[in-house]
Amino acid sequence: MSGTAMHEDGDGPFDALQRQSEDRWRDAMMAARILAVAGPQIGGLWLTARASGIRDHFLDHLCTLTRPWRATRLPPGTTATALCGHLDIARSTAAGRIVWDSGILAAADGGILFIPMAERLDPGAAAMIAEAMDTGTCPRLRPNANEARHTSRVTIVALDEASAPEEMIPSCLSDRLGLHIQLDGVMLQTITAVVPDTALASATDWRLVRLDDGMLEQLCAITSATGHMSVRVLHHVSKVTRIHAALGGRSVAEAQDAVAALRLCLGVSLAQSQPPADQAPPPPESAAAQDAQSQPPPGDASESDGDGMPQELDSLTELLAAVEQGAVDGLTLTVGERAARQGSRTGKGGATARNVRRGRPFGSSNTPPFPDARPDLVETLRAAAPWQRLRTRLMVAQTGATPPALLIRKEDFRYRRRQHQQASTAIFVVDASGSTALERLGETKGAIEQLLASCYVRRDEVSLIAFRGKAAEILMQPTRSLVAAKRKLAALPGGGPTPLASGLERGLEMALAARRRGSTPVVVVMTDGSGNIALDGTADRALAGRQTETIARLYRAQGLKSICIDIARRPRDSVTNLAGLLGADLHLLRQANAAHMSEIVRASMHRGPPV
Amino acid sequence: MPKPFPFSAIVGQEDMKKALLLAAVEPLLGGVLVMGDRGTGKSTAVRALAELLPKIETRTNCRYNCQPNDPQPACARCQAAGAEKPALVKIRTPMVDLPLGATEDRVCGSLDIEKALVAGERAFEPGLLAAANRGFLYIDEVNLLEDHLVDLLLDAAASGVNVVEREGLSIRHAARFVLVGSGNPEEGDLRPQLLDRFGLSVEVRTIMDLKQRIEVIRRRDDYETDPEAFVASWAKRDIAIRSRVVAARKIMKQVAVPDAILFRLSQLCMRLGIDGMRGELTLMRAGRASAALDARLEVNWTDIEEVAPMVLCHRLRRDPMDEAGTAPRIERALAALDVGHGHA
Repeated sequence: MSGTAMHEDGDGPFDALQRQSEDRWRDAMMAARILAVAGPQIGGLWLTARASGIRDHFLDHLCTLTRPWRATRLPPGTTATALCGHLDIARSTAAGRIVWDSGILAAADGGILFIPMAERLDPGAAAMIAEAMDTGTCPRLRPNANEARHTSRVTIVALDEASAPEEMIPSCLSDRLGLHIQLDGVMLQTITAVVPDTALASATDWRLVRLDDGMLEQLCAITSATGHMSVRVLHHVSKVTRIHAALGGRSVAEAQDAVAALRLCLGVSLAQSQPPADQAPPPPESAAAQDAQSQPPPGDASESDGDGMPQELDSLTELLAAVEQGAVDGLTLTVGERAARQGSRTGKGGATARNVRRGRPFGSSNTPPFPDARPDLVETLRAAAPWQRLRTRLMVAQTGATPPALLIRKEDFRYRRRQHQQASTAIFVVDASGSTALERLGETKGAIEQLLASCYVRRDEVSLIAFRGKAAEILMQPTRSLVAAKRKLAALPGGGPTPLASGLERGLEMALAARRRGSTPVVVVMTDGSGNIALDGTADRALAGRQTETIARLYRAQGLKSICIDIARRPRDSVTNLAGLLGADLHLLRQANAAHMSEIVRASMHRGPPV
Repeated sequence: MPKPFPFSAIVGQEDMKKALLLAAVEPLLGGVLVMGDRGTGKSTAVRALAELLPKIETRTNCRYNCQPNDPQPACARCQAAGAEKPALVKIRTPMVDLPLGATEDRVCGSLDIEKALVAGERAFEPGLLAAANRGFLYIDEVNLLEDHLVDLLLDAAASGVNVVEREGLSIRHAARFVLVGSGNPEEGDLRPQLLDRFGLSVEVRTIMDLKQRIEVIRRRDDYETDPEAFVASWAKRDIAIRSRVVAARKIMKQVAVPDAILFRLSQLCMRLGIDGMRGELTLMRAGRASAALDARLEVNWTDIEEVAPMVLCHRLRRDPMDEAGTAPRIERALAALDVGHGHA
């Protein structure tokens, strides 16, 4: 199957990729073994991978390793009742008495629960799963102080297929899952070449493995340095360290175990390819530039039972130094995605769309909310129940026939009504170039904070994109939190030429992402309209103008609501033209003014839900 | 099901522990709001508290946690006459989790389908509010809860009664519970109306001290290795805390607040511009609970200084442009009071 031309020399780009692929696959195999040993003790595994043969292969392997455990797959769109138990209509009617289904969480007790598309998981369902993970019992839907709760000790495997940074698995889950593995970038030839060992027999019980205080302190320092402040994460890392040692047959955890644990839990590894003899810490480079040159750290012997090398204790110190310098692999990924990607943004906004096909159930009605709606059985039975005796008597009196078990009439039917909240997301695309940049940005910051401060109830979100110099950058992902916003808005850059096209492009991407999340985006473009930098960063005014037009037309084509604020001292036609292309409301704001600006935006955010 | 992690074994987080104990001593305070980052032991502390508190007396299988000598009209079991009455039983203080996905039916209760279908009679199936009666209702991620549920809960918590009018049912039953909410402020703020319903609010921060962090990990490991033995080894300390709470509940009514203290209380609230009586009243109650926990019969200014941040933090007018947060403002106001009788 591996029909790729093999590259023969030692360190071409292809070899680096191949090495990365092998490392990731080896890590994944190790994680599977650890999961099989520890199970619910480390919560579970967060698997970042697109659906692919590689992922299926890994999951099959995982199921083989955890053979006696039952694997359950959570159906998409699972509701709280399905998780925690509900009335089983089919069996109830068959049996002639009430039968309660204990729910998925209780059924998966002692097994693995796969959550496909975890980034789309309903926050309510996530909260229930998290509660089951904490208490080891299934949350009861029929509260009864004297009824024993079903045990539910499950190992969670969350399959995260997030593509955009704003999609993420609910943070209450990601915080509880100990292991984090990435399979993107694993090649087919790797998984055919590496034969996974299914030997599970570890020589020692991991609970007996000692982890001395010095090493725990180092682990503590490194996890803190990588931005993982949660004690839970540290606890997972310390456990994985001990399990790794036990799998290697050691009774005292060594540095190599700690290094492996940091890689498996946080994805942190040293980005260097020197042998351990050179003890110089790697020079700090930009962490983003090292995506494709992951190297196994020195002293990493996850396969062989490496006998401790003398410098091994240094490898942790070195790793800590590297983390603090930002010169490690995967740091951008993990800190960016795990520590900073906090805050599951669940759509809770101002306008709610009712009688829709998706969303949270909020009640029932006796008319179908939309054609071909399915009746809600439980509610229907509730409505029919009080009439049963009377109807039976009537039927016997009228026809003399013995009635069937249930007599349900047309007026009993009830339909589940669903609603989903449509949050609004205000996306500020701000021109931070030139002389008035600082003043404008300051006022924009003020406007954003005012908007946030006034949207407790409606739960709108605000984000900020600033463009200057060569390209636009996202200063603040959509957020509802004043706390987070203040933190991010503290330092704002300013000055330089105007890459208007790039700013509009970023704004468009974010608006479409917000729409995919079910929120209603409003893009606020603040500029003086004179873009002079093209998308590729070259100073070509004509090209930049053409690109700006193209992108602005896309806004209109997508039907995005947008507002243009002309902040030039002497307004010219350029912004008017831009507003025409965008299909935007145009406002002139000679002096940027926070209160005025937030008022304009608020007015346009709440002109009712878009049709 | 293993016993929860012992309350006394929680490392640090003194503010949170104190606030929870105050709420346990004085249910009238109006509950506790715990805001802070993930993994700071919020849920652990709340679950541990329920285990720590003295058991309450009720009748077997009562769904409303009725007092044995004062049954509620809604409760058919406890209303039964004479020999029909179920046996007395002591149960753990109820600690009901309200998950994010809960529906209104589940919170308030609804028509009991089973009885309706089998016996054709209309009966009420009690919900979470009934189960939480005389105990605690714990809401994790309270800032993400649906608004209509929040309104329901606040109404029930404030009145102590749950009124159900639906599906032809008309039921009232007692719902006296201490509301405990927790959440992460980075994931969204709470409405101000909801904020000041909570009596106390504490902010928990991740423990940054290396030694303490390691202690947390060690204790967690010991607990997970052998829960029974670990709980047993901390049992003495837990019992000590329990007897403090029981003693404090007994003397709570006799704790006096000197006039001088009351005067300064009002001054403090005026200085901070806190509107309404609720702040002052809660401050006084919390002070009394704090004195009672120390087995004293008179409130002194130290009590007030200790509880003032918990009581007032979330009642201050929020200034979106204020970078510092609210705790320093309260400290400044307290310091200004101590300088002498400065003009407010």
